[in-house]
Amino acid sequence: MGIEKALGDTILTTQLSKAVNWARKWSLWPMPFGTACCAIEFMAVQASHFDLSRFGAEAMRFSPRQSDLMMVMGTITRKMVPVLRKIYAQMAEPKWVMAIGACTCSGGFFRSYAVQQGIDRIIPVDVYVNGCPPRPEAFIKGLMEIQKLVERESLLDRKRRIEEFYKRLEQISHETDYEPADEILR
Amino acid sequence: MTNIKKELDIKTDRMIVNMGPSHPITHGTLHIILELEGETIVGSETRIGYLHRGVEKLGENRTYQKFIPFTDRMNYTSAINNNVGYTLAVEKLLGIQSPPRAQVIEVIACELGRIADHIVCVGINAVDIGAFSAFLYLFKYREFIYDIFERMTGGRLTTSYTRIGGVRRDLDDKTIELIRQFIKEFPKAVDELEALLTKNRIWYDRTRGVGEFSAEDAISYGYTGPCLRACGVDWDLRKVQPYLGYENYEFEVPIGTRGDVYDRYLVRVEEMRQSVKILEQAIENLPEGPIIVDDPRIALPPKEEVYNTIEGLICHMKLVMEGIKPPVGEVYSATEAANGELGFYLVSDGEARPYRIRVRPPCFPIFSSFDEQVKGHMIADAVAILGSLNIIAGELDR
Amino acid sequence: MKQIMSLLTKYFADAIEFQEGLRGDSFLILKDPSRIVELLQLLKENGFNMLIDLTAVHYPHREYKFEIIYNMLSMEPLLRLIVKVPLKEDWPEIDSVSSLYKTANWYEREVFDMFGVKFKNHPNLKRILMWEGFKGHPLRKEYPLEGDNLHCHD
Repeated sequence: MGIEKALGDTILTTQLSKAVNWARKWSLWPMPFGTACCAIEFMAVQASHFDLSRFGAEAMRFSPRQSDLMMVMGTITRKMVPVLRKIYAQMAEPKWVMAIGACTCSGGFFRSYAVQQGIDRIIPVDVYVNGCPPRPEAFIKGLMEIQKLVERESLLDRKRRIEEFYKRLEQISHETDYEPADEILR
Repeated sequence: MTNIKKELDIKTDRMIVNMGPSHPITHGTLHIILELEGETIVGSETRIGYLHRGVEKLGENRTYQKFIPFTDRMNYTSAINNNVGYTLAVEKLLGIQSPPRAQVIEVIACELGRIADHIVCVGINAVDIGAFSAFLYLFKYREFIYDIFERMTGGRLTTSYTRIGGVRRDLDDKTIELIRQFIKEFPKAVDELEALLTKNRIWYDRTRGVGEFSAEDAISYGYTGPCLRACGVDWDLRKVQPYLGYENYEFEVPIGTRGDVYDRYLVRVEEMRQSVKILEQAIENLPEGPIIVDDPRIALPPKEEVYNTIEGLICHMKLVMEGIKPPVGEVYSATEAANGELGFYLVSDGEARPYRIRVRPPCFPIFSSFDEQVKGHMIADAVAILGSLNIIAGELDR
Repeated sequence: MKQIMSLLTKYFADAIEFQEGLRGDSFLILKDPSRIVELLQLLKENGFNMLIDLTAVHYPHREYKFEIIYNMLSMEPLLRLIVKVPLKEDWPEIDSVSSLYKTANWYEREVFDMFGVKFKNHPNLKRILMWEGFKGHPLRKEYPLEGDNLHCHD
């Protein structure tokens, strides 16, 4: 987050945001967090028929520290939740999250004791792509929506979003007996 | 390695490396903890359960027909084989058989699913070892199979094609043409793949002798499928205990010798060729007739009857609201899925909901032997072995 | 198959009972749970070299609350036999067969995880599908489908 830090809160940027956002939009490095069937559709999207690299998203970095878009694909079970949180916390700002597939959006049609009913109860999600599994065209549309979000974002928005996220986490921990992972707050 | 250590008197400590639940091998969520001494693996522990969705308990709360989509999502690389396996088990419980045309269509679907599964397995195995172009070349044909599945079933990956007593939709002419075109083009793709990998020095060096497994160990561990055949055991349920009319098709079963990663790769490639042979025979001998059994207590009546006659309407309503009521009893039915013996053990108490559905996943026993298989190898070999075992987390954890 | 049946009746006499399943599967009911290792040893020596599946079914309304199912396969000649061991207690214990068949190791862990059936002499009886620290055994009939709202903390 170099630019945000350097400029601080007091400078209003317009052309600079446009330039930075344009660069960010066309070089989103996704981190595929694939667990189940949607990951196989993702492999098909990455292959040559529906090519994802024309969006600059070819560099699939499986390390959270080197990527800025986390694509969560496949069912997230309750056993997997701490892992997901840790990996989200390890990503550097600015970061976006795409929830792909019915299972990540809301638990899908697995309403059972072991499945987390929607990952937006754990991490903030920017774009939801539904389908079971979603068609590759839907994937690409989801990526384009993220690109629109990146484009519209001003450099001050980021800071506000982070503050809101942590406030919301505190709120959740008071409402239920869900304790937020301490690693995120550290 | 140990000689060098003694000469130079290096103090080495054991290091624990975590190939954690989220990792680039895209096999799904498996947690492998390796204990390394230098580069050699001394011990390992595997943890599974990160994709346990409670499918067996969900099955106890759904009717027999409603369970079919759950079977899709178990082995999601060849979803249609799971559908066929499940409906065969329920048909065995009910004591019926689907009509001949449906049986041949199911054989076509199974073989296409088997080819699709092997494409994913070989492709991902290649990507893990570093040969990315094999993956791209193969996935072009997986898109072809997806096109065929889409015309046949309506879905690319999660098909839910079969119904109890038959299949849902018939094959139309354009689909049959696409299948014929596939049969013509796919052997050339396998030739291309073999040209890329089989005699490739790097591939051979990285896979020959890696993960050797003896036949007695394999049987003791409960291996079935290509991994067992690569160890030298001639066991294929399609030949030994034929179902769906497999005794009428001529095909060979490839058997390996040493049970290492190279043998498993060769067995899978040859199985793809044999599947094309079966497809050819099946599509030429497609009989005419209905695609689902005619019994109104089991299969939905056709729409004209439902909308125009009162009996059709009532049958439809009873089937959808209440479901099928099989007799009291227990059955076990197994089919040869792409990975091995996929078994379904159904316990029925006469109600519309099964009392217990047990899915016997083929990769559960295979993965339990991973700890033993990987000892003594280098850490890079662990990745190659994992790829060749074809572990699908959806099936492992259900 | 008849040979195996006569051999088993010779060694086990009253402790076993043969049943023909609904659609032709062969079932063998072992009434004495303590002799399960002996039975499977005898089966292994007589051609049943593969243990295909090991699972359990919970019948809370019956007198014998659990049935442990061992699905055996003989490759030469092709024979399938399903051994059922009914157990009376609510939280039963039975001997582990992982010394005979290495595949039983993980299957028994799964039965322990899902049903709470303990296996004596098992090398590593821990939970396998649910996380460690999970309370409850999901596939028991009294466990609710949607769970007890337990969360997995690291």
